[in-house]
Amino acid sequence: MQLYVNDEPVQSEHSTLTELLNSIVSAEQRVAVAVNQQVVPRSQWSECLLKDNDRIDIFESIAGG
Amino acid sequence: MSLTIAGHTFSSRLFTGTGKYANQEQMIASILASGSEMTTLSLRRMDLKAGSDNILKPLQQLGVKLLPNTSGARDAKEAIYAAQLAREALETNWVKVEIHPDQRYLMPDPIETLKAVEELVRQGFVVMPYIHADPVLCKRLEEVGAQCVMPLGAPIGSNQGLASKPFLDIIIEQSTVPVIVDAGIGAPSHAAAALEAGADAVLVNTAMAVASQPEMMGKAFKLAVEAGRMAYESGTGKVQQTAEASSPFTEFLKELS
Repeated sequence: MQLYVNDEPVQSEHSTLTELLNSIVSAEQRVAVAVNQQVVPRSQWSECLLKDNDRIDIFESIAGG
Repeated sequence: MSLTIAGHTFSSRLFTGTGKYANQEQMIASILASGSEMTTLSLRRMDLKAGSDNILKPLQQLGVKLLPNTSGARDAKEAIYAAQLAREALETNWVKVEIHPDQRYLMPDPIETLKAVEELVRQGFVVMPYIHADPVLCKRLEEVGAQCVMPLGAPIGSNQGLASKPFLDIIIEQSTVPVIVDAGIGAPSHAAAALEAGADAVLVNTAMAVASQPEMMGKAFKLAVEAGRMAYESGTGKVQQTAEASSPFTEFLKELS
């Protein structure tokens, strides 16, 4: 299926958000994720089923004041 | 000497930011030397090709509390979204709300800020709003449940010091929540002045980060904040136009003539 991860088109066969994230982000990295601009709490990643054309945004902490 | 915000007690009244440091080692050394117990972070979408800074690990080792900000948000909706993401990324319900649609002066938008704070408080966040030094807005933010107010001294990163001093004084007089002077503090003397005036804390980033010796500057801010608070608690004397002798007048001098 066609997904967009941080605006990049990605062809993916991962059916859940957890599977997709495991393929992109290392396990120790602390990220926040939104699907179609809805924040998905970490506890719900494994139940979050992805569908064609979903937009997944992955955020991380950076330096800032 | 300690300060409590939303049940969390800080022994240092100096909060810091992590932006603008030349490298991570300097950032850690500076924050450590400053004695700061809470430091701010921002959030951004990951660059999937470039990889990550991994700023979290050294800060967690330092043991400071992490305060995500909503920098980059242009309205209340974006700030709420950023706060929800930050809660996930940093596992904290604390957030510094900053909404500045204008990139030249980075002036905080009071109307969007009030809206965002009201909603985030409803969602269970501990909200620390960055705002202009506006006493009326501070009272409105208090009413909707802001846990503190963070009025600016001067524009972000400008190092101008307490340009808003007369209004900070009014805010400090009226506020029932902690007042944290944020933005514009360019030198330890500015921080000391804020604390002497009764501000509960200051947030310093640029002045420490861009110093040629950030670690030493961190220490300088630590001392300034401690001195300012001690002076406030000691009670400074009143300001007056005429002199008042510090030594008693005696007949001794007359006898010489």
